Amino acid sequence: MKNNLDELRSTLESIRAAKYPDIPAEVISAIIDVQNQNQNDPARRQRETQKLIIQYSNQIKADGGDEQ
Amino acid sequence: MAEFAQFTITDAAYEAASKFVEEKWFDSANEAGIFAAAYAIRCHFDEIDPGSLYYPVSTHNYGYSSFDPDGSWEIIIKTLYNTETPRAYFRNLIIWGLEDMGCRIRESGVLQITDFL
Amino acid sequence: MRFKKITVENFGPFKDPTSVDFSARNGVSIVWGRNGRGKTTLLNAFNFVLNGTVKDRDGNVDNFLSFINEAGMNEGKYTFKVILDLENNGKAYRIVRSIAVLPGVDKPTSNNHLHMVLQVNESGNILSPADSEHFVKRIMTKEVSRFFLFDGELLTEYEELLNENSVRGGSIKSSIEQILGMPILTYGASDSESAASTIATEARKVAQNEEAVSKYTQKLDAEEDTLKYQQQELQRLKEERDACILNRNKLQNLVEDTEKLRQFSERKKNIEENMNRQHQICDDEQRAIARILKDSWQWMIAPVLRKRLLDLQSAMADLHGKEQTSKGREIIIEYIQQAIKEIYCPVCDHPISQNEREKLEAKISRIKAETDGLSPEEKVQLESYRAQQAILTGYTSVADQAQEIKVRYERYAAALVMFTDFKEHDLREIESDLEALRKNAAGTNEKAAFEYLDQFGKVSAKIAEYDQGINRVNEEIEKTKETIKKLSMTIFEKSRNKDVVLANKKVAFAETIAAIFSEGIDVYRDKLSRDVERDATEIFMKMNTEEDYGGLRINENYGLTIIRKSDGKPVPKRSAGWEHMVAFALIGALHKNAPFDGPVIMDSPFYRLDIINTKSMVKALPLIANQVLMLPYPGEIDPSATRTDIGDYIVQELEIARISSNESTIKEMSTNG
Repeated sequence: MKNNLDELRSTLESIRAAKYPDIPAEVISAIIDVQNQNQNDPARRQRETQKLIIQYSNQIKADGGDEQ
Repeated sequence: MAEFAQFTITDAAYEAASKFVEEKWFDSANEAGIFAAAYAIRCHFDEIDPGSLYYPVSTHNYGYSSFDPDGSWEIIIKTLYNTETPRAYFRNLIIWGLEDMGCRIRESGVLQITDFL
Repeated sequence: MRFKKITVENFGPFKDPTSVDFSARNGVSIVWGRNGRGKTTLLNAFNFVLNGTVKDRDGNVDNFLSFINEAGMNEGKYTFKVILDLENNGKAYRIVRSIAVLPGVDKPTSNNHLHMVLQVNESGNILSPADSEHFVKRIMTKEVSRFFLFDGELLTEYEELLNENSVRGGSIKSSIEQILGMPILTYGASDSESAASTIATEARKVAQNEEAVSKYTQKLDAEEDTLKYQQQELQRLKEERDACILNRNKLQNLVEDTEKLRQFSERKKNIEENMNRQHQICDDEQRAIARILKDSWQWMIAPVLRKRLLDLQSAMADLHGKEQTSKGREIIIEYIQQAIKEIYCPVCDHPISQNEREKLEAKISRIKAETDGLSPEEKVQLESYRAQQAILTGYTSVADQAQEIKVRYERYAAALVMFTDFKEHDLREIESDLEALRKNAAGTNEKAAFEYLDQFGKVSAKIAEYDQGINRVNEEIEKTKETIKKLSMTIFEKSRNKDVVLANKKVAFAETIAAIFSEGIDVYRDKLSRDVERDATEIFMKMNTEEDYGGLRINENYGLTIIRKSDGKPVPKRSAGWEHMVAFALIGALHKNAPFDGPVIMDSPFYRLDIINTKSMVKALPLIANQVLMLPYPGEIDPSATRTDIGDYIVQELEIARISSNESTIKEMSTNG
């Protein structure tokens, strides 16, 4: 039986790849995990999501390129 | 010879008249009595000889004119029965009618006005 | 997630520690138990260890005192414990939840003397209380647990899903979406927006000191203040609306509970109106009859008078005839006498001789001798008759009204019977029903029942107003955000500060992530709907025994209707048994499509089904989840037929055995069928 987050991941991945390819796939996947693990703790969920986004956004350079 | 100006009706007749008034078919015992006399004539004319009926005096006293205000009954009964005492006949018909209706009502358990038409 | 073992101690009927051990392999575990032995207690045990809650037979929630085993209580044991061993994401966990007596209390007599203790052990390490709570909440939330731990009666809730506008339907829908992972997307989007907002705020702080963009940053500050105010306003409206919703939910329960009171009250009103109508007819007809009766004596005696008149007419006929004859003869005598006198016959027209005169005189004597005239007495009699006739005729020209009275009386009597029937039968019956309802509703009366409905209407209208207000504020927020975005873009374009430029790139990054999650909501929801419909149909068709049933169709609330093969239309009103099976198919489909694994525990799930449908559902059990724990009572399903139908999927069969009237245990069942 299918009981995992793969469907959800693949749905968002399709959207990301088609319309927003500049966004790294890993950040979407990581946010999905954080959301899943903290469903009953809204404060923690929001905090961890924000941390992730800021962490990934810190890789963006001022001149337009990413630090990778 | 002038007849009486007042007369009484029996307890049984009064009871029957009260029942009619109670059930709102008539406004007064007088109206019920007039109806009773008419019933006696209409339905039992050949059976009754009002002249031979006797009823004792009671406490339920009425003025004759309250039953026969214009004297029509007196005239009709005098003619119909060829009697010189039409008031007495009328009174007897009233009492007989009321008592008979009262009896039928008791037997059937219900006052059905159409039984007396 | 896989359950491995549950152990209960001093809980319900289970005094000594007793366990249900789930094998390592997938399949169906059956625990047989007669009513009252402890099946529902086992369900409560799962609920307790996972959610910290219990519910007794009377519906009382968290009456922990009542769950302490009686025999244990008598031995001075005032605590109980439930242990659940499970495996999640490759790690072994032991959840131990117990009820203990508060320090200083010797023997508890109320729930206030008890407290709850939770301990979670992860691969041998004891987690902190906070982490223990977090773990337990994470693996199965209360909303989600209703799809894993349920008894047959809870399936009736799913009928609400068919009503897309029902309040309960909406709340079940959100529970289903939670199990299917929708919150990951919705909160993913909103949390990403919040992150973007945070980054943007930081960027603006930097930009404030740059002269080239200071006027824009000032405007932006003002817009931010506006946004803050709008969001506070939105929050206030939502909180007030949610409070109204809570109130409405309570009222909805009250309205539903008092529906019968209102119906009966309306019926009583109708009966009273009918009674009044009939009473009015009675009154009207009686009054009309009484009016006719007032002067009735004349037409009543008229028939007798008319008969008397006829008798008089007969009696008068002879006398009248005699009178007429006598009158005729007198005229003849007069003629003859005139002829004798005038010595001239007017008839023959010639003089009369002496001889003829003598003959005529003799004739007069003869005529007089044949005396047929009225005697004096007869004359008097005739006069009397005539007088009577004149008197009586005056009283006979009245129309008889007996027939009209009879017709009216019939109407009166019919109305009276109807009135009496309404009063003595219908009204009494409804008043007795109302009295019983009032007693059962513990003091609620008809007035209150209508008030609840009224209040429900008012609260619903208020919620609609709040929704309108929330929509308006949301629109304003979007406009403000749009303005803020434009101003931010302008600052970004005009700023020469590289930190500001960088921050705005980060804001765009966060907003794009939010957009991905946001766009994913509808796409994923559509896909889920189709998948749930497909999987539910598959399970349903495996259980289906109706020739014409072709599949299931899903609605916005995840409610399912059965579709006929013959015309492709939904089956309008299906029976409770089929409702049960559709709900069962839905459970299976939800499990298949949920982003996490979990066992299903079912207490007496077949009570609404006939034998054939029960058999079908039993066969479909392995499709529902990897681990199924079934708690039937003997007779609910046939043991040997079940073993044949489920076959190798049966992992184990246990039974709840009674040790004494207040003690049970769980042991392996002897299979002798």
